[in-house]
Formats: sequence, C-alpha cells, structure tokens
Amino acid sequence: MNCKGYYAILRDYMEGEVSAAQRTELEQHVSECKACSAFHKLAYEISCRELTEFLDDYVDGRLSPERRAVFDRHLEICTECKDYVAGYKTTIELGKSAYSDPDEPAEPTFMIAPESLVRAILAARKKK
Amino acid sequence: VALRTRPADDTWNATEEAALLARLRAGNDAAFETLVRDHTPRLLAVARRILSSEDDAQDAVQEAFVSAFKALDGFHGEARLSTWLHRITVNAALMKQRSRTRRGERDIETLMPQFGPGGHHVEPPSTWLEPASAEAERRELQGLVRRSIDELPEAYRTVLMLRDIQELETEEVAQHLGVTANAVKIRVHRARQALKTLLDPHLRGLNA
Repeated sequence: MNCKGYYAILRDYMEGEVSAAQRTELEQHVSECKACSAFHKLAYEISCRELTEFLDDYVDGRLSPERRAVFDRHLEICTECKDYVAGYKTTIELGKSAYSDPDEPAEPTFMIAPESLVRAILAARKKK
Repeated sequence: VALRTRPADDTWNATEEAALLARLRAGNDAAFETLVRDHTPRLLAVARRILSSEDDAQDAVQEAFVSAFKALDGFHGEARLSTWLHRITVNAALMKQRSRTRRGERDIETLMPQFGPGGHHVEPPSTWLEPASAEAERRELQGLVRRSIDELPEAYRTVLMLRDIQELETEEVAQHLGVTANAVKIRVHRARQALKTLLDPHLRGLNA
C-alpha cells in the first residue's frame, strides 16, 4: 500500500469497515511510512465525537493549553470537524444577533416606555 | 451572584437609591412613578427578548412590578434596585413563557450530530456560506434564526436565550431556572448544536 491508498481507506478503517487483509496492509504501511505514522497518531488522538462533545469548552476558551493543542491538531487534519466548528461559531453569532435591531442602540437606555404601560403599572399598584 | 454592570447603571448612586427606597416604603406616589418610568424601558427590552409577543412582554413587566411592589418591604438593598428588578422580570417572563404552549417544537435528539462506532461524523458536516451582509438578506436571516430558535424545545430555548442572547453568566442562569450550572452548560451546548442543525439547510454551501 502507498500513502494514497492509506488515505483512501483510513475513514473506513477507523469505522471498522475494512477487511482483515486491508487492515493488515494499512497497519503495515503506517509502521513503515514516517509521514503516515505521524498523521495516524494525530488522527487517533481525539475522535470527532469527543471533539464535538467538548466543543463549547473549546469555543468558549475553557480548555487547558495542552487540551486545546489536541483540538487544534485534530482540526488541522479533519476538514469535517473544521466545517462543524465554523458552523457552530456562526450559529452562536447568529443567535446573539437574532434579537438585536441594527437600527436601535444595543442597550435601550434612552428608550421611552409606552405611556399606557406605565399608567397600567401605576394603576395596578393602587389596586393591590 | 451579581449581575454585570450595565450601561443603564452608570449613573447609579447609593445615597439616591436609599432615599428613593425610603420614599417608596412611605408609599410616595411620585417615587413610584419615578421608579416605573426609569426602569420600564430596560425591563421591557429584557422581557421582549424572552417572549415573542409584545403583549406578553408588557404583561410580564407589569407583573414583575406588581411582585416587586409587594416584596418592597423585604428588599433591604442587598443588590441594586435595577439588579433586583431585572431578576424579577426575567422570572416573570419565564413563567409566562412556560404558560404558553408553543407549537412546532422539535425533539432535541433528532437535531444532535450523529457519530459512527469509530467516532466519525455519520453525515459529513457541510461548509457554510458566509452569512450575507446586505440589509434585506440580513433581516431575512434574522427572521429565520428567530423561527428556528422557536422550534427548540422550551428547556433548550430558554437557556440559549438567557446565556447567549441575554448574556447572563452560567451561574445566574442556573439560579433563575433552579438547576445546576453544569446542567445549564450542557443544555446551552446542545441548544447551539440543535440550532446549527436547523439552520444548516439554509446556510450550506453549493459544494455540499
């Protein structure tokens, strides 16, 4: 097996969907090829599931520098997780701006309360 | 747990607040009017972010003030008046939200990403397009995001609103809802993931 062959079946290998012969061939290549061996180690450091599970800690900056480095290495090689993380970040931003009105100041400090509401509140006090 | 300082509190003055409290306790009508006029705009903005209907938001603010008036004798300035009112308003809005049966809620489990036995994404996530910056498209997207947030199960919608939109700290959200901080943290993450799934068909790129 060459490097191209390794990458072609890596995903199936990780999912346990390769034949015994393919498995032996892949492991043989990894043990002999320096580049693929390094890549293989990284690919196994953390799974996509694990990365996704702790993604909030990663995005919100709550991971230790060591743990963060593990996430960063995974994201360097895994385009699927890279896309997921980008979409997750965009989702947070879209959520944050879902209720902001670009025509109004962010903090409605100078907003005037509806007069009818002020009257109703003051009237409710008299009734209590 | 103290709420973050908000711009509206910049003019806060302990002596003035103590004087206002004394007048409120004495039943001074003008003091009540000052309190209501000063705080209603900000509290209404808080309620509007939790409740989608304007009538409900105004009702929640009114109910919050009525509760506050009743509890005034028990308030001894442990927190700022504005912080105290903010907390009461959030609770009133959440109670009103609970009383509204919302339609079209989705099952959170069906919105979570799925993984194979090797821990890979079963369905590869799509690359998202950069959200449009043109005014009309941005407004359309904003509407889409609001409708999607409305589809989240209530427990998840509430934490997302309080944590990411009202920007309360995890601890504060936990206090409001009477759950642990860890439960809030997990729910926020799941709510974001679910919202991402709901937005995906609209934002995925052409190569997906």
